[in-house]
Amino acid sequence: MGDAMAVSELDALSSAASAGHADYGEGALIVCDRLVRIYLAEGIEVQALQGLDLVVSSGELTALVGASGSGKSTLINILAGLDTPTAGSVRVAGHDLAAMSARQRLGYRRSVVGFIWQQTARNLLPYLTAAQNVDLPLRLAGAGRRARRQRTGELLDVLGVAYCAGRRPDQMSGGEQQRVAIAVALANSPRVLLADEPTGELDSVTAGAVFGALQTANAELGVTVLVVTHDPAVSSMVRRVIAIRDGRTSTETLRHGAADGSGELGHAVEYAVLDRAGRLQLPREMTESLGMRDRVRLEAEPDHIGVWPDQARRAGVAADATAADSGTAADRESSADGDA
Amino acid sequence: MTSLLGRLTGMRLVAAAALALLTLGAVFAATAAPRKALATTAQTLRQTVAAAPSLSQSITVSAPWSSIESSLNFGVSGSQGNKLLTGNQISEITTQLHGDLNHGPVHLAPAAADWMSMTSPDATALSKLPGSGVAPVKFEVSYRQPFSQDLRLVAGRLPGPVPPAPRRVTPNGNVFPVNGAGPQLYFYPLIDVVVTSQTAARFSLHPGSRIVVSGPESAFSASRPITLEVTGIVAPRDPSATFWTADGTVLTPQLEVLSPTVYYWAAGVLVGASELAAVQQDFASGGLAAQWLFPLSIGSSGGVQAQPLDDALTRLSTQTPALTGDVAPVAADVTVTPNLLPALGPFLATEQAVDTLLWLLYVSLAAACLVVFLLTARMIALRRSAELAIRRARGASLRQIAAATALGTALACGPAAVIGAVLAVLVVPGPAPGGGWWGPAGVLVIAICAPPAFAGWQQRLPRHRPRRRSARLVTGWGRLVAEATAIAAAVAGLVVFRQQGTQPGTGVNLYTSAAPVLIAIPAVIVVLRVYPLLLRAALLGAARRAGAPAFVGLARAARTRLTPALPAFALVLALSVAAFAGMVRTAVSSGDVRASWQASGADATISASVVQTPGAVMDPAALRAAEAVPGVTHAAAVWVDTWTTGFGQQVTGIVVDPATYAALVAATQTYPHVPAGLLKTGPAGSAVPVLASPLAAAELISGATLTTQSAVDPVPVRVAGVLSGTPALPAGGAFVIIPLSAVHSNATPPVPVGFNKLLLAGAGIDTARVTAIVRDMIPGGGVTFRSDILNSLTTAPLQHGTFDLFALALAVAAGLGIAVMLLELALGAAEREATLARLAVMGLGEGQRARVVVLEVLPAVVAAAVAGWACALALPSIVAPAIDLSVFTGSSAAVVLSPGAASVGWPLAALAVVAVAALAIEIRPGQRGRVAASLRVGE
Repeated sequence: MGDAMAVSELDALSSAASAGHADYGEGALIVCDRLVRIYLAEGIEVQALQGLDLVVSSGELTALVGASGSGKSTLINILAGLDTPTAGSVRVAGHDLAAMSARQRLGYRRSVVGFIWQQTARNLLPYLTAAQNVDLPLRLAGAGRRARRQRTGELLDVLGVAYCAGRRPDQMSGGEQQRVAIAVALANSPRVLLADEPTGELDSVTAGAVFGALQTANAELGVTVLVVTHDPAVSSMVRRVIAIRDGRTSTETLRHGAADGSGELGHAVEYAVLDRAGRLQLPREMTESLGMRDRVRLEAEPDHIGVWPDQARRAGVAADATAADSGTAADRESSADGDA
Repeated sequence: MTSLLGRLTGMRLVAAAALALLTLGAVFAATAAPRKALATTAQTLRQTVAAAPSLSQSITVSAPWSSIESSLNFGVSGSQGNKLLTGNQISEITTQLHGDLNHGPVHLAPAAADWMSMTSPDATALSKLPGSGVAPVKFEVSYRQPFSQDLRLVAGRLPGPVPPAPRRVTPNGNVFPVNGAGPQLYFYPLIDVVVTSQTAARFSLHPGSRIVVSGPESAFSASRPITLEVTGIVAPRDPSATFWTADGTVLTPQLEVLSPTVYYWAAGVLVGASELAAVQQDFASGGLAAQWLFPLSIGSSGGVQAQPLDDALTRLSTQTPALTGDVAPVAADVTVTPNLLPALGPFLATEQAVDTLLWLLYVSLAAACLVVFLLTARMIALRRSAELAIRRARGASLRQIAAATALGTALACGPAAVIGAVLAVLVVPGPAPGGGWWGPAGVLVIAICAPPAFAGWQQRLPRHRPRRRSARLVTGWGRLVAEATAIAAAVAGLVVFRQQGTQPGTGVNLYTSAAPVLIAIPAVIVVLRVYPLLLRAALLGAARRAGAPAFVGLARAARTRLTPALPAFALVLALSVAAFAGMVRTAVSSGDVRASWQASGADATISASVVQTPGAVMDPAALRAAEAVPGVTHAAAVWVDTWTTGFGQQVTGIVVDPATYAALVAATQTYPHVPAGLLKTGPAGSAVPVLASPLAAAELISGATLTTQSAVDPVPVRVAGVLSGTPALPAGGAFVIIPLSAVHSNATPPVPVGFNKLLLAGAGIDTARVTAIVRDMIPGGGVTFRSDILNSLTTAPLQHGTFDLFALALAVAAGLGIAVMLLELALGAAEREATLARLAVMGLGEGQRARVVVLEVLPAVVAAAVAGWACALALPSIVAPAIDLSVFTGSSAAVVLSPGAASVGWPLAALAVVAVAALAIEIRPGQRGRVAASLRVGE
């Protein structure tokens, strides 16, 4: 009887493990599973990503936020096919980016993903007009002249910069340049559009226009958009904001409800991300306020899990605090006596 | 970058222009250098051949007549049953041989210059001829075809084309026709001949003269007299033509002295077509020699190369000519002798020596040029990296990246290469050597393909190179092993170079021609090892002192990796080549001067007789006039004659006034001083002290007495000193210098010893005045000026052309050095500008800014200069044993290659000037306005 139970438990565990592996991110457009990326810079190892999990569904407009050095740009570069992970897996639109050959990667960059950089100089060739810049990816992919002309006109029109078709970058404003850059990124009808701080160099009004273009691309063209941003205005206008901290996803903020007149979505709820190993990152302000460090105590409740600071440690902290208070008081008394 | 050129090439105007200029220069040099080398050697070859006797400039095909007669299946039958060659057959053989010999590198003169001869053995004149003295006269009877084109009639008539009716002459001289039967056949043959004016004058011949000679014996008859009837006197149109020089006795009888008691006159007579059959019939039994002579035409082929010509001529001498038709059997009987081969041998050695020298320059400059092109390609790829990154991100494949880059470089380099090639062809007209277009083509390929290769490497994705491995390679044992291997390979190459270079006939080895490159490899490796250590020490010193510029500048210099060794390598090579070219020019120029002294002995040498007539002396008035010519600082009259020792050994005696002669020798170069005190004569009857050459000293063992055929007493001598050479006898040999006071005339009445040579020394001798004195006062005399000899050496095609190539090499080396400097500045410009902008924000002043730039850039330049200087100093000692520079001077004396101060110093000075100029541009005032722009760009 006991042996039969042990075997059945083993079977259940095995099924659960394989089911979890198969189910993670299934059906999603972007799936990052325990993604790791380690750099070697002047002899020092830098762990840019430390087992990041991410799932983005098709058609989403998602923002990625995080402090400098959190791994945002590394993640974006990997998703763009410009870098490869050290460990873990990453799938975009069914393409396993860790296992692609150079030719497959080239096809991926041409037809699956579009990229926009923060600096406009990195997005457009300065000696080509806007239309020629949009035409360039189509030409590289081998499209015919008629198809290229049609697609170029459509994109510029959709993004509201058709009047810039014959202008070179130095003849356009920053916002116009970025919108043309979005058109360039969309030229080959990618499934995913990656934008690395596209509004970083722009004023708020222009940034809003650029973001509007991204929203248009998302809404009208059905492109899944992933935007890395520091701009809180941008964060407030997307339904899902993923925060990355120390190479992992830490929190997600989901917004519900309709947008107000400024486009800002109301009712944001922040969630801590629970990764596949069951780990989650507690917000620093919460842990610091409660003095949580090294270990916490968990208590399972019927509808939640309680996270409590370590009691012994807390007692020690309290004792230290009490001793410090009493010592201070004694000093005060002694000094008062001394004065007296 | 919005200009049309920028859009088309994808490069900034400056970068495109720099690449175009570099390509133009490299293609020009790669095209012009081989053409110039070919033109130089071809001109020298033509000059060498032209100086050779006319017979050397021909190919001789010879065969015994008897072999030809037995090979031919038909022909006119002679009276003795043998077959006779006809004129048509001879013409046919001549034509076919001409066609067979005239192909490939061998160019013959037009067929009209070919001629054939059929010459009899010597036939002794049976009667005594006037003018022959007691010596017998032997005549060659030589048939020539064609006959009259090389001679002109002076008297009488030329033989006609149609043979006369067969004739015989009786012993008493009556001539009667032969009617084919009867006893007339036993009388003597009569052959019509012509002789030259010289022969006629020697033997008092005239038209109608008859010479009876003994004919050859045969199997059918004993020797019988043959009468040669002179029908005409002729003179050569060109005495130097092979028609006359092939057998000099035909032109001028010569007295052949076999021994004091055996001598005879050798002379020749010519017969034409009319007597062809008669010559064969009458002389065949003695052995007729048939010979065809085909003059060469070296000057007609502008791009003639000695080695292919030598190979072709050698092949001709070993192969059987290809004759066809009825005369085909004759091919097996003939011997082909290219008479030019003996003259080509020394020339080939000269050419190889020059090629060895030139290939040293070619390979070194090619290596430096390759480095510069790689640096340029790297710069272009870096400058276009942002644009190419966009393309790559938008889906461009590496092939498309490379194609876009290649299109840009092709648009910049293609026209430049064409212009460079056209310029080279215009500057150096003439044919190009075989394979001469590979160099320029290689340059163009590298110029176009290097930037795309760099761009493709740069843009390859994903960027996950394992830096740990490269770091280990750079700093660890891997680098040490690589450096040790490189040094070992370089040393091995140098050893091979020296061994092969000193062995004749080894040709030019491409690997070993890279001696300057091989020397530069260890130098650069050592510099790269020592340079960071020295820089670190300087940095420590700067850190302790107050002030920022030195510390910042040296810190940036220490951080720069010297882009591993490429710029330093290119600079070292450029310096080595420049210094080496300078050393060679200096050595050859010194060698020319030395050779001119060795050829002339003094600044001017006057001889009493150009043809060295025995007994010719100069008038004392002429001597005084010559010594008084403006510019003459020293003069010494000498008497040079042949003296004989008691044992019959001959030495050249040079009778001089010791004091004046010693003073003159001291004013010359290359000759050992004459210690006049050693020539002080002792009491009468004692042996006269003389100075002797080593050869003469060995012969003049103690107690020798010298005698001469001139009217002076014998002179007992003893060797007081040995001299290796003396100006009075530049050719050297066995000579003795005899004091004038020891030579006494034994003529009656006694006459003062006359001088037959006057040596003059002085830097600015009035050569026109000296020439006039010789012309007017020394009949038959001659003068040789050292300046003329020196001029002929310096303007000789070989030296002049080679020095032109050196000048081109110097220009290329200078250009490459400048290009390396500018490229290095350009490659680091962006980072430097950003750093300086940040420092300017912190308060860096203009002067401090300049110091920062200088201290950042200069250490690398100084390091390269030191390495280049070391290579330049080491180069002569390493390559000198394998290089023969005496081929330029034509002298047997060695031309010493040594690192002179000027040769090594001026390239360093030029590098310093270029560095200062480049830095001056970099640190020009007014850069403050760019601070904001630099910082806005960001990283």
